[in-house]
Amino acid sequence: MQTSVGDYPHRSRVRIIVILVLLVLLLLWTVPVTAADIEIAVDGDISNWAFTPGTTNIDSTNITLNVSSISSTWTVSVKDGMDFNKTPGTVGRMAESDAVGAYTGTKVLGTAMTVAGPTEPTKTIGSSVVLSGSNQVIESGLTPVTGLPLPLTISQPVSISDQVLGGGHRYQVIVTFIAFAEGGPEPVVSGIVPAEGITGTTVTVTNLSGSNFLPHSTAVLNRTGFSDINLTVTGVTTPTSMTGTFNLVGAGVGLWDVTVTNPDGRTGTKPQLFWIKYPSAPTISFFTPLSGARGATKNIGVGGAGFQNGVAVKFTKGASVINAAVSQVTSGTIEATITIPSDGPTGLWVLTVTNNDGQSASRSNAFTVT
Amino acid sequence: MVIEMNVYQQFMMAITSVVLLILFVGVTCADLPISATPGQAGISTTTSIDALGVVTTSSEMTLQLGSHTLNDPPLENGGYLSEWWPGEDAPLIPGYTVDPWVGHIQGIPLPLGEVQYSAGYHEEVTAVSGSISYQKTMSISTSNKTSGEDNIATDRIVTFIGGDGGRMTTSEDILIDGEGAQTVSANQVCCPFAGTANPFFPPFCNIVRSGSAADISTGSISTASGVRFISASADVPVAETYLINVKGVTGPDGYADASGTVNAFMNAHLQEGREKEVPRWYDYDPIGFNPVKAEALSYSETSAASGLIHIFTKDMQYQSGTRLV
Repeated sequence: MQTSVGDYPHRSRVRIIVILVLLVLLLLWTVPVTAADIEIAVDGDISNWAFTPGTTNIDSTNITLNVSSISSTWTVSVKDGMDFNKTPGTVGRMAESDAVGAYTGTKVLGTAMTVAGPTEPTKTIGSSVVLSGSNQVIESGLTPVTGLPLPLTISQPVSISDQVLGGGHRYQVIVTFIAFAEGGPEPVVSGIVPAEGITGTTVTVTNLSGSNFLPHSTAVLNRTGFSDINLTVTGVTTPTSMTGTFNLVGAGVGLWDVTVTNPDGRTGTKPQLFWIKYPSAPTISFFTPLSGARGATKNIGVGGAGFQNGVAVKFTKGASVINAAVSQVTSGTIEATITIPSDGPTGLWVLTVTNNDGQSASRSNAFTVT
Repeated sequence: MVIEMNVYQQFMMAITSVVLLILFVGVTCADLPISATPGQAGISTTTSIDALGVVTTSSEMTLQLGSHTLNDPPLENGGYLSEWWPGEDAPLIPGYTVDPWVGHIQGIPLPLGEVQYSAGYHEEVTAVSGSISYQKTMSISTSNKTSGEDNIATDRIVTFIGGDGGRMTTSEDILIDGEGAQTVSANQVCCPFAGTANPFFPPFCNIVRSGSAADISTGSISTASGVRFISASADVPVAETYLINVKGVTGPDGYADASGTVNAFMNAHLQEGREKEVPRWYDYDPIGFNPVKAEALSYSETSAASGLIHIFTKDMQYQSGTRLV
C-alpha cells in the first residue's frame, strides 16, 4: 500500500486566495500481498492546486504508478486515506492544520476527489472513480507485468466559497494506493435483488451482493441440465455488489444457483438463490370427488387456473402423504389417479397442487378418506 | 217436524255443489313421477251387491314404489357431488353438477336423484236393516301411466234405503305421499318444447289425502277416486282425484232426499325446493347447484252436511308436475 498526500494553505483575509499546494509524500512504501508477487511505486506528486477567485477550481495532477507483478492476476485500487469508512461518492475530505502545521481537524469539501484510470484501452477500467473509504479498483490485469506505468489523473474541485476553508490554514488530501495480486480471496455470493424472475422476461438485478468481487467479475445463473444464464453487467462492479440484467426468455423454471467468477478464475456460488417462476401461481377452485375409501383407487379432478405441465398433486394429513399420478393437464384442469393406503388415516385431507416452478396452492378439508 | 224442515232448508241452500281443484305446478313446485319397476302387477276387482239385511265390505291397500331402495333414508341426491372454492380465501362449498368432465372423472353414469312414493286406499261399508245396492270397481296397476290414467282407481255407487232403525256407514279415503331428492332433469321430459332451465329438478315432499265419510239412513252415494304417480316421463303430472256425489233415492213413494250425515275432506302438506347455483371462481368451472327448501303449503278443507241432504257434491283434484293437463 502506498499513500500520497496533498495539502492546501488558505488565507481568507486577502481577496485573491492563494492555495499553496504542498504535496508531501507522507508515506511511500510497497506492501505486496506476497512480497514477491506485486509491488507499486509512485512517481510524481499531487500538486499545483491553486484557487482562482470567483469560480470553481478543478485542479488536476498526474502521477504514475509503476506496477510489477509476477502473478497472473492483479489489481490496483485507491481509497480515501482520510476516512476508510467514508461512503462512496460522498464529498471530499481534507486534513486541516494551522499556519505552523498544528492539526486542527478534518474538513469535508463540497465535491469529492476523483481518480481517473490510465489511458491504455486494454488496461483501463473505464471512467474515473470517486474516492471513498473502500477500495476502488482503477486497474487490473490477467497476465504478469513488469514496470507497467499507470498514469493517473487526480482531480479535486474546490470552490473559493467553500465554507469549510479557513484563512491561514493548510489542507491535505491523502490518497492510498493498494495492490492485490493472485492469492486474493475468492468471491462470495450472499444475495441477489430481486431473488426471483418470470420466465420469458428480462429481469434487472439491482444488487447481486457479496464480497471480493472484481471489476471484471462475471455472474451467471446455473443449474444442472440447463445452459447458464449470463448476467449482462450494466453498472459499476464494486467489491460487494454487481448489477445487470438476466434474459430469462426460454429459461427453465425453478431454483437456480448464482455463481460469480473473478478474473483470476476463482468462483463463488450460492445454491438455489434465484427463483425463475411462471407468471402466476396455481389456484384451486374445484375438486371432485369428495371422498374415497381406504385401499381404493380413485380418479380425481382438480379445477382452477395456472396449472402447468409437470404439475404435482398430493394429499396430506399430518405426516401421511398420498401422491397422485397426473394423467392430463390443461391450464384449468388436472386429471389424476390416487391409491389410498389401506392403513392411511381416515378423515379430512389437504389437497396441494404444485407447479414445477415450485409455486403451489392448497385447500384444506378437500378430500375425505373413509 | 219443524226441526227437520229447518235442517232441510239449511242444506238445500248451503250444500248444493262443492268443487275443489288444487293444481300445483311451477318452477319450484313439481312432483316427479317414478318409472315402473321391470316387473309390473295389476289387480282389478268388481263387486256387486244387492241385499236386504246386513252388508259389510272393506278394502285396504298400500302401494310403495321407490327409484332406489325403499324406506332407506336419507334420499340420495342426483348429480355428481363435488366441491367449489369461489375465491382465494373462500370457504369450501359442496354441491352437485352434471358436468360431463366430472362424469368422466368419477367414471360412473350420472346418478339420478332418489324418488319414493306411497299410495294408500281405504274403504269400509257397513249396512244394517235396509236395502242396499253396492257396485264397485277397483283397479291397481304398477305400470307406467299417461295422463288420464291412474295407478289406483276406484268407482263405486252405494244406495241404501233403511228400514226401521236401518243405517249405513261408510268411509273412504285415498292418499298419495311423494318424496323426491334433487334429481337431474335431462332426458326426463319427452316433450321437445318443454325445455328445462336447470339441470336439476328440485326436491319435493308432498302428501295429499282426500276422502269422505257418511252415516245415512237413506241415500245414494257415488264416489270415484284415483292416484297416478308411476310414469315413464316427467311430462305426466302426479295426480290424486276424489269425487263424491250424494243425493236422495226414488222409492215407491217418490223421490226422497238423502238423510243422515256426510262429509268430505282434502288435507295437503306440500313442500318444494329450489336449486341454488354454487358460486364459481372461474367461468369454466363446472356449474353446480344445491337444493334448498323454498315453499311450504299446508291445506285442509272439509265440507259436511247433516239432515236431509238434497245434493252433496265435492270434486277434489291434485296435480303436480312439470306439465299439467
